[in-house]
Amino acid sequence: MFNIKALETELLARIARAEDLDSLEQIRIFALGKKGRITTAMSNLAGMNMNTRKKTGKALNSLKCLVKNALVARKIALSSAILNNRIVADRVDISLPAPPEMKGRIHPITQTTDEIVTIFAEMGFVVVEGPDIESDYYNFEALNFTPDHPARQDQDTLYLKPDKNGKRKVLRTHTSPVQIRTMEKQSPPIRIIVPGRTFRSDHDATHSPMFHQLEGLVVDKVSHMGHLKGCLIDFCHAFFSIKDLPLRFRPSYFPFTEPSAELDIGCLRIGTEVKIGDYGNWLEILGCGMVHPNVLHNSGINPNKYQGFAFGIGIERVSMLKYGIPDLRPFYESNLRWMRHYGFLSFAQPTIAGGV
Amino acid sequence: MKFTLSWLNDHLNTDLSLKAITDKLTMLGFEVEKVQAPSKVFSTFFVAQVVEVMPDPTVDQLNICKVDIGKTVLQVTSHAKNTRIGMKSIFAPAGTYVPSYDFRLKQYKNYNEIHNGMLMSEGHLGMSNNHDNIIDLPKDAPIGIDYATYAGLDEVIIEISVTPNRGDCLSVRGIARDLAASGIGTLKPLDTSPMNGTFISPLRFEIDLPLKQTYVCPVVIGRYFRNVKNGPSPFWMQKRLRAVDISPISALVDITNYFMLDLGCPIHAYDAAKLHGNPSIRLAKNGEKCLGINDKEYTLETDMLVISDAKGIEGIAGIMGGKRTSVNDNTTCMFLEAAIFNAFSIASTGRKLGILSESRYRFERGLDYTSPWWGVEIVARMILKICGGEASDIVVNGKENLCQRKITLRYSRIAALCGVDVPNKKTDSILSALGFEVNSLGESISVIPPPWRSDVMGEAELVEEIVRVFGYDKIPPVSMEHINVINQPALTFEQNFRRIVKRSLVSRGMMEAVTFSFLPLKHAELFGGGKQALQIVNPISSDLAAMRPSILPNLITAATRNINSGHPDIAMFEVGPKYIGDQPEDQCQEAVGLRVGRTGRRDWRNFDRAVDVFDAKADVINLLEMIEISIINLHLSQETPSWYHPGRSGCFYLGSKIMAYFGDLHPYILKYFNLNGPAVAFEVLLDNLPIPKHNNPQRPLLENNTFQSIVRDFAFIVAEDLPADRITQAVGSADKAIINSVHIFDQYTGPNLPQGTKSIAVEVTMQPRYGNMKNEQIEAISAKIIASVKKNTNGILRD
Repeated sequence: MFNIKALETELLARIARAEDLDSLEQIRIFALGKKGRITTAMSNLAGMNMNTRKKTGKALNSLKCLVKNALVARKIALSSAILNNRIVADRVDISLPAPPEMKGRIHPITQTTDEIVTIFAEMGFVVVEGPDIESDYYNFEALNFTPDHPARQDQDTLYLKPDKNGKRKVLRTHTSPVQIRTMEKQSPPIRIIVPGRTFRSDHDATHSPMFHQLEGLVVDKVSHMGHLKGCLIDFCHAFFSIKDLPLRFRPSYFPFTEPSAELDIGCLRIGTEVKIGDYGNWLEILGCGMVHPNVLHNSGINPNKYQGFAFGIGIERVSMLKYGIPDLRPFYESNLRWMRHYGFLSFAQPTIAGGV
Repeated sequence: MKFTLSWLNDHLNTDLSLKAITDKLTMLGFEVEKVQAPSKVFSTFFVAQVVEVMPDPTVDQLNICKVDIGKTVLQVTSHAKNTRIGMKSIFAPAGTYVPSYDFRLKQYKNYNEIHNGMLMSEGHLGMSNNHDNIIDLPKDAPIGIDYATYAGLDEVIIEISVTPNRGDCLSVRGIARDLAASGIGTLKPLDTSPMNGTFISPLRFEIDLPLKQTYVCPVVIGRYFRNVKNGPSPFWMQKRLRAVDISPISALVDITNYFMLDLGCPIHAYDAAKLHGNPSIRLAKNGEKCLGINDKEYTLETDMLVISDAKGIEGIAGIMGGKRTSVNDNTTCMFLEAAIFNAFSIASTGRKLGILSESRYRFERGLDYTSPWWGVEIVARMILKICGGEASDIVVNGKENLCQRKITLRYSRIAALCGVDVPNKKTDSILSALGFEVNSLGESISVIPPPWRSDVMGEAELVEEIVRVFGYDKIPPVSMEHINVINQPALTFEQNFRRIVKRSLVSRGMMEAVTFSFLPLKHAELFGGGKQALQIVNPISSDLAAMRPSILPNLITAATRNINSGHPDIAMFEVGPKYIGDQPEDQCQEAVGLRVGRTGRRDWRNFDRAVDVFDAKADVINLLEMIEISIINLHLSQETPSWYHPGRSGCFYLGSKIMAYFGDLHPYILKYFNLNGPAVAFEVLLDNLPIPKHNNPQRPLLENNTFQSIVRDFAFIVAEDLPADRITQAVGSADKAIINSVHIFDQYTGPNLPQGTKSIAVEVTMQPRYGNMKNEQIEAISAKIIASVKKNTNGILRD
């Protein structure tokens, strides 16, 4: 008969002393393995009388239980110590930089065009495009510019080299030729907007030989100058999202509209910076008017039956105004610093729901 | 168009403020560009009379003068040789700031004489470079008044822009008429009554035009003046001309200039003594020359309208007078020309010769076709008043344009076109005030435009006149009626796709650029362009002389610029047009990207690396996948344009259409553009991409397969020059039903392989559809894979 109490003391002491999972396992085998002390002692029970067997068996069982629990507890303690050590060892300096990535930005021209398109799409306009290289007919003649019309001189046209027949193409000076191209193909009602590149032979601080316009055209039986005003006022309010934005329609002249107007927006100039709002000064942002009957006629639309309005927005102009971009020329210089500063995030797609 | 407020008041009776007048001008369609307040700078200078001149006893060529400045007489010194007793000049008292010299005059003492200021030269006042002589004012200049008042600088100067249709408002009277019509005053009467001549003109204008071209000069009126005395024009006239930036020359010239501005009536004065016979209005012969009054010689072309006499051309009609017959101070006989020249003829000649004169500006915008008749009367009265002498009867050649337009205006059109109700009476009164003749026809009116409104051709122009004067601000805005709610998207598929492409490329770290549609001719040629039809005749500069055949050269130029300013790593793209011809269909949309340098900044774990052709390939694949073009359906070719490295570039086809190019830039291109470091590019030809058919938005049902997929790796030894994707295809085709994906994950060449071979390792994913795969099945498929690779590529399994 061996001393159960002594074994208990020994085993518990050894478990408590175990330094790692391996030695703990050794202790488990020593105590509870096939030939372990407790296992052996239990198998020896068979040779005992009933009374002793009962008593010893009970003591051995409780010892087994005690040792098992001690082993589990020690294992948990050891494991968490090991994990803790590993965690300490795994530590990194999270202040080091993440992997490098290039960062892109959407150009203000794209963003502004998307915004304008979104607003007019809501009003039922669809987007149409036309060629940058135009014939004299579409760029001028069909739009009621006679040859040597003084208004042609205001347009500083860029010409391409003449062909064999002496005919020379022009780089379109405005997006208005697409009015004609559309009306030739489509019958009213028409509601289109035409964003695109336009060209003038002009290069200084406030002019670029290439810039962007967005043409608008509405032709139906009823649209009048009140609609023209309403449409553009609604546009400006949505685009600039400024409360009480001062707007002024002022008579002007374009050969292809009659009556014609220019739309001014309230602003304040501080050096090169322009702020929009009710400051008492005005800045022109677009030209517009009722489509001239000759233009309708030239496009095969009966001016006695149909009427409508057209407008042309300078995309850079409104972009500069809205976003406080002071100079025009950097728009085309592809300077990374400028693009980073004035560009837009890829996911900032303007939407009616999310705002423009 | 520039004028002074007092000049306007010569024609307009109004008691409204300057602000009210300029606001009204704006709302009538005349953009007010500048309102210049009276100048204060010259108000400290005074008109003075020299009353005593004594040579300075101590200094050579210096005079000590006494000048009368009205209130008192002061002592000054003067170096000027033209100083003389009795002359009137400009005096600046001590303490005056002289702006053009940027100094303040001091009082100083010289040999016990006190000097109290200075007599001014034109140079002092910044009027000319004459610093030697003091200003010699006319005798009638009032002593003691300040110079600003004297010179007209005390006036409000208004500058407006006049739209090309309003030639009639290139005159002070025209502007006054529009203002009066808008109700802010009344138009003062103008005396246009005929003035009888005292003799018959010895000269007349001939019109010598081919029958078909008589329309270019329907009428010319001449008037002869004799015994006139030319000299400086009166002070008030000089003052007004100066205020609007026209230099006074002599009375005869000033008078013609004055009435051109005042009444919009360009009239030319010839020195009659220099004319050889009757001046004739004719078309120039090619190569004829004319010396203009600006001392420039012009070579003329056939069909340019000129005035000539027996000695040759003496003026370019309506554009510029000739030097030979111009008037000067000795002129005593003068012949006046008042004519109507065809606007288009003048515009065309002016454009070809590059002359932009005030006269041309008015002729090409259309004159009052009655102006020669009243012009010669008004001008004659002024000439006699200022220069004396006598005037002949007028000599008319041609006739008045009597084809007056009658336009019918339906009152209802005003509201229909403009959405505003203008009372019929108001309509009539606006038109009448603007000079239109109005006759009632009940619900409409018959309107005859005045002779100065050649721009008004039809009903639409009349509506504009009425509403413009009535006020655009009175038109109530009406919001557009909603006609659809997304039953038709605003963008076409292609337009929307361009949008998505841009934002996707930005998400891939690329910066969106917008560059010019043009570039240097040499760049165009390097990128397959530069043909005649795409060269610009009149470019801003030679750097912008040809239309771009590709966006790429512009991106390379931009990259070089950025690299030179310290940004070595570039990822940039542009989506936009390129031009392969001058027809509308020759304009193609492309998405072009350029990556230069490294994939990012230097990284502490070396995650950065030099960009290579596979970065560009990834950009292209990503972009094509956005319209659900699967790379499996593309085929790849090595044939790329000359600007790519021939061994490190590729071209994706879908069927027979090219979708995109990608690759390293050719070393020759890098050298030409001075671009260092690795540079890769891609060009996706957006117009060639197939438009997905989305007739039915519904997707096929998902095949929800729960059977375990199996992944097996294979390595094959193949010929070194075999494109790796041939193995992918061979593996995939072994059993299309089960093989789900084939992915190359390693390429190896080295000593343990036979010469001229390489090893390609692929990861094959098999997805059974009808039950989990058993070992035998997997083995069977593996065998099929090995056989297929052997058959298609001659590759063998690597042990």
